[in-house]
Amino acid sequence: MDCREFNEKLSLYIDNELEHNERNEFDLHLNKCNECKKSYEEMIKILQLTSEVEDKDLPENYKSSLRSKLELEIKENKKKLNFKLLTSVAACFLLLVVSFGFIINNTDLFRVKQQIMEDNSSPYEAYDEDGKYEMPKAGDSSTVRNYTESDKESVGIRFNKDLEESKDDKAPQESDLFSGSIESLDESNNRENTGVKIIKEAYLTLEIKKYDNSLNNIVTFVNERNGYIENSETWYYNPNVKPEDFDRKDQLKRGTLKIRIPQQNFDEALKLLNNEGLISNEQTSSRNITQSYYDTENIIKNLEVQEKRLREILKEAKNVEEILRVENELNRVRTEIDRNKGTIRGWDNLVNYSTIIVNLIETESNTEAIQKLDAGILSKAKEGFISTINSIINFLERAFIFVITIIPAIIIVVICIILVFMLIRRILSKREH
Amino acid sequence: MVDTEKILIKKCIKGDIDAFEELIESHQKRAYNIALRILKNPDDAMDISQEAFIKIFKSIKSFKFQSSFSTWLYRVVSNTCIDYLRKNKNEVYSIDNPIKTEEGSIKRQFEDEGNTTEELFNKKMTKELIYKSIGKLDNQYRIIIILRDIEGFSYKEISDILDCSLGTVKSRISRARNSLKHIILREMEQNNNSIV
Repeated sequence: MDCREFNEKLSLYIDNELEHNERNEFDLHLNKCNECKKSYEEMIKILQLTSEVEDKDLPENYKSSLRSKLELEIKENKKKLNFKLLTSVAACFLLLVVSFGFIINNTDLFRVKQQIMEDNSSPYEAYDEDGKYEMPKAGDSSTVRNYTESDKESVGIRFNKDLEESKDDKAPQESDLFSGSIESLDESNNRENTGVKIIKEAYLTLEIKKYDNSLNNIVTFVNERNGYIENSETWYYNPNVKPEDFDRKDQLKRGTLKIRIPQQNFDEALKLLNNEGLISNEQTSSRNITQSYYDTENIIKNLEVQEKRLREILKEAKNVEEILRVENELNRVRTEIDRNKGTIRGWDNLVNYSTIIVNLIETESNTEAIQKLDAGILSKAKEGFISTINSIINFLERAFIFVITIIPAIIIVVICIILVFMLIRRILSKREH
Repeated sequence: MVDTEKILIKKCIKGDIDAFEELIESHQKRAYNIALRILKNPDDAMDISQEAFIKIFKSIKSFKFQSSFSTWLYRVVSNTCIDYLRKNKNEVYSIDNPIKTEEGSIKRQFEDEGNTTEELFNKKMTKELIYKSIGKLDNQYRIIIILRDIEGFSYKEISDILDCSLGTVKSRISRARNSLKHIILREMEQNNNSIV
């Protein structure tokens, strides 16, 4: 070991950090070399003095100031923690409310959309059904009148056709019925009405939303049941608009229908009409004419017997005067027979075909054009305002209920978040160290 | 690790300041003195050592009982001091400088050896001189002299505190002592000259 190596290992030697053999070598050198021995002694002296350097006492206020600093730290830490907790909870809550609100709003929106579509569907349908609506005709009363008339005409034509058709259908029956033979009449009467003759009539006022639809439904029904429309009339009216600024689009329709329908379908027809709209007025009457009917029949029979006899007398008549008198008498009897038969026929008609008179009143405008700015607007605005407020209240109520209901879930979520948060913190602090 | 220490640490984790004070009671003075020797300023020493204690208190949750608490404590203290020195480079120590002076010191040490008078050396070397000389050491050497020769930590403890290998600690201690010796000798020469 040379002096240089000695110098390098001096420190370790002093601290007793050398290996055993190194230590021996060091001892050997220390004994041999005076220089190194001196250096060693110097170092020992220095280190001895160094270790004698006394620790200075803590400043007087050291502990108290440390204490206050620590307390401050704790406060801040708590604040931080609280803040973090608060923010995370708040964020959670916000998220929930927002998502909830979104869902609610969506469903609300959906519902409103549906409503709008439903509302819109009627005017659009009305448009599509009647091609004439597509022609915009700005407030011109004459054209309106024309239109009304033409409309009436067209309706009338249609109904007349129906009438003719139904008459055609009935024609063979009627010819059977009124062929003049009393027997066949009796038979048919017995067959159809079991001898009781009742005339049924109804008078209805019907408030409907879609005039054309209802009218079509009624006509279709009547046709299906072998009935017919005896009379029909349609016109426009609008109580809110003067005839001068009459625009057809704004107009509501009104109409009167006289329906004739086989008696067995009378109740069914009333039911249908009932479904078609709101009945504001209804009158039904049943008139039993059995007695008068058979009386009249007997009168006809008697008259016919009388006629037969008169014809026999006529054959035996010898002079002109006799012939004339008999013929005169025969003529009277014949007229009487015809008159009574006419009554019977009318009754048969009335009995077989019940009469329903329907007043159709359209109550809602089917327009979608710009309407008059009038009394409606304020009340509508008010309605809208109120409904919005109601929906807000509704929403808040539902939100409140929802929040209360999901509180258990929130608690679980918050716990999870806190756990995750703590885990992250732990991982972070691990990394720091 | 002592059981009471464990209990105290667990209390500290819950935020018990009293427990923390008890825990650091025996280390406070030593920590303060380490800071004082490193920073060479009582005010800074107080602030920085307290800062270190607060750090310890805050991060005591992350103490894993793997090393001894005291070692961990002094590690935080010395690191806080070193950070402070780095931030406040009032005294600029370039990295090259200490090596040069070190080399120079070793050379001069051998050169001067002949001239050193034993008497002077023995008589005039005082505690004050030692203080002064330690203060003149580079940060790196000063810390290791403080830890080893003033506070008397073992090599193993020092390697834990400074977070370096045992070999580094050995060589660093050796060089630090040589550097200190050189500074002391120079100081003595100057004193001698000024006295004479």
